[in-house]
Parts: sequence; structure tokens; C-alpha cells
Amino acid sequence: MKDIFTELNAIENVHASIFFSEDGNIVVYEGTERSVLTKEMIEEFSATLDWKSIHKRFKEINEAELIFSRYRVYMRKAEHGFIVVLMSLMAPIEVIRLNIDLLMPEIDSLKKIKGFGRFFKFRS
Amino acid sequence: MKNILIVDDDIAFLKMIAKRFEAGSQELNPVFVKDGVSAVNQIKNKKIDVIVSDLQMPKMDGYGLLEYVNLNYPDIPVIIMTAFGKPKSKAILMENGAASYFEKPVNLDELISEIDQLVEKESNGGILKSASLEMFTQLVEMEQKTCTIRVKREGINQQDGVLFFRDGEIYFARIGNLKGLEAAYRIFSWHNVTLCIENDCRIKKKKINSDLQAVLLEAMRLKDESDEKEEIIAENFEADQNKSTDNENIEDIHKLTPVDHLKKFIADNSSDITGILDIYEDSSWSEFIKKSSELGNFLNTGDLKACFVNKKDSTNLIIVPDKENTVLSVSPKCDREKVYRILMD
Repeated sequence: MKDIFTELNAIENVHASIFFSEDGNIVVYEGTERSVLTKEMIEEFSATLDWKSIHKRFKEINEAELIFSRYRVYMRKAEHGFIVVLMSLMAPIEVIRLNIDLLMPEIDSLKKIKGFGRFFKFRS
Repeated sequence: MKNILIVDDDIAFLKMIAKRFEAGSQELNPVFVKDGVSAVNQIKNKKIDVIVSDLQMPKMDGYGLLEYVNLNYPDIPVIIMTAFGKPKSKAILMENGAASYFEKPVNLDELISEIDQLVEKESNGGILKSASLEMFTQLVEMEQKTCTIRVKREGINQQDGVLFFRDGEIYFARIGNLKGLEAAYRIFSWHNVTLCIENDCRIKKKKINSDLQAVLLEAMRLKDESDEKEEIIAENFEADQNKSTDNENIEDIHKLTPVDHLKKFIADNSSDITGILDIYEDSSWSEFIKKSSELGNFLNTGDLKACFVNKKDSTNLIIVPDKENTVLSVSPKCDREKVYRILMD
């Protein structure tokens, strides 16, 4: 499978893109050299989350942006999980949104492929 | 930063142009939509500097969009692209107010160069910083100049407005979606402005039926009224602060939280930050905020300043993390970046 977040991560100030399944498994993780994240960090953090409550909250949400003092995190609900993008504060959010719009069919088709787990992908 | 609205239902083209913008000038921020109706929504809700539109699109085509923009936002230049150009198309489109015309496949370098030129044209008559708008427009009137003046209100209440002059007469004014006389009064009431002068005026028919002197006089009257109101609010605020200092121990002095400041700021400037529908406290977001903060701690992204949530029922919320979680219900019109900036400060 090709790296689905390559174009998204090529946008300036994007650090990493992750696709979580609804139960918190990391289906795709693609980081850039700018990324402050590592595969281990994501796994460790994912294990601490109550994914049921996140899923419940995201039943009423399409997208969310978390504005921190140093970074911004963008989250989008997909059909079978969540896309999470870590970026700098100055990242061009409109371009990122468009890229995610364009990626949605591909992301939504992931579940349909037999053997979901074989697409788990880590790069750091 | 200039916002360039790209309107095309050809996804491959949008992807290609997004890449080109990425590699190009950081001064141009592309905004992408797939049809004319979505373009109109963007123009209503966001400051757009140049529009690049395909001609054949679903819902509203390029002709409809061009007509709408010329009627309502005549200061925004429209570049038209088409894959089905006929010999007369270019002439018709240019006659109907298109700033430029490209046949597909579009040479992206040429397109970007054209956008740059249109952006530069906005100030081909010069830029005046900290200028007196009254004095400058009276000079325009005296010298019977034809120009478009883009007025930028500086400071925390940043806003943009446009004044159109033809042969020294005021023809039209616009601030966002506010048009005509009301917009002119508001623009002339601003302090601390920067003026960008374009030596052209796309408006051919006078839409403000007053002369400049009458507009200036009424604007000054409204400005005085608003200054008086501000003074009263400031005096009352000071009196409240003094009262609480007298009545409470020094440890208990009520300190305004960032959210109180935000509420006060928004109450004082509700006309400047458009699109804020309601402000309330809602503790039901506590868990969401808690988890988001934990995420920030974990990733070392700093303190959580705000969360934007687009709900499935089409409501947009900005949630400010504090004791009770203050929620700003906002319309798509709201300049969220401006609200974030206030929160970051």
C-alpha cells in the first residue's frame, strides 16, 4: 500500500499524520523529520485513552482543532476511525482540510480491505 | 497574507494547484471550493483577495459567480479559466468584469504570476500608513481622482474596508458583507488606518447617493457618539473595580481570567468580531478538554488554549479551557484565527 499521508505530510509545518481505528489501534502512522512523535510515544499514549468515550463524543463531531501554545492538532472523524494531524501553529489549515477531504475515500476504503491489521504501519 | 479562492470541480487540478502554492510564495494562502455556491459562502465568510474560477461547474457556474462578485464584491478581481474556450468567450468575460482569462490546461506559473500582479495592483497608487482617511479622501475629491482605497484598521480590532471613488465622488463602500452608506460611515469612523490605493475603480454606477462631505459629517457624528459610549463603559468598569477593592481582602481581589477578558473584549467589540452567536459555560466538555490537555502534555505541545469543534448538527464551537469551560458558539463567518490570537495573548 502506498503511503497515504505522503502528500499531507509534505505540506509545510505538518509534523505527523495518524489514522486510528475506532478502538484506538494505530492503522497508519506517518511522521516527518519535523515530527516530535515516535512510534513508541503514540502506542503508549493510545493505550492510556478511553477510546469508547472518545468514540461516543465523536458521534456528534465532524472535526476538531486543538490549539496549544506551541502546536495545533487537527482531528477528523472518518467512517471507521479518526485522522489526527499534528502541525505547527502556522500550518495552512485550509490546504490541510482540502487534502484530508481528498483522502477520505481512500481512508474509508481501508476497512473494506481484508486483513485490516496488515496495514498497520510505523515510521519514525 | 492574501487569500486566493480557487473554484473548480476538477479535483486533480485542485491538487496540482495546491502543490504549486505550497512550493511558492508564503504570502498567498489558497482556499479551495468545488462550485460557485460554495465560493459565494466563502466570500461571505472570509476576506478573499483574488478569485480564480473555472467556467463550467455544478450549482453555480463561472458566469454566475462573476456576476455575483461584480455586483456585491467589486473590489475582488476574478480570473476565469476554461477548457471550453470559444473565440468570443474571452471578450465576453472581460467585458463582464473578469480581471483575466486562461484557457486550460493552465500554465500554473503564468497563473501565479497573474495573481501576483493583481495583488500588487491593489497598491499601485501607493500605501499610506497611519494616514488621515478624511484628509486623503478630501484630496481625492478635490483632484477628482478615480481610485479604490483599501482601508486597513490596525491594532487589536483589525478590520478591512474598501472605498470606491470615481472622478472624486464616493461611489461605493464595503466592509465584509456590509455595503453602501453604512459601510462608509463605519470606515470613516476608524482610527489608526493604513491605506492601499489602487488607481482604478471597477464600479461604474454610483451606489452611494450622498456626497463625500455629507458622509464625513455623519461618520464624525457617529464616531463621537461611540467615543462617549466607550468612555462611560470605561468609567463604569473602573468604578466596579474600585468597589471590589474596597470590599474585599487583598487576597480575594477579583482578577479577570483570560476568559473574562475575552468576554469583555467581545462585548466591547461585538461589531468587530463577527459571527459570535453566544457565549456560555458548559461543563459537559470537561472530559474532552481533559483528554485534549493530556494529549498536549504527552506530546509536549504546550498548554491547551482553545478547541474548535465542528458538530454534526452544523454548530461550530470554540471551547476555552477553564474551570467551567467557556463555550463560544460561532457561525462560519467568525474569524476563528482572530479569536485564537486573543486567547494566545
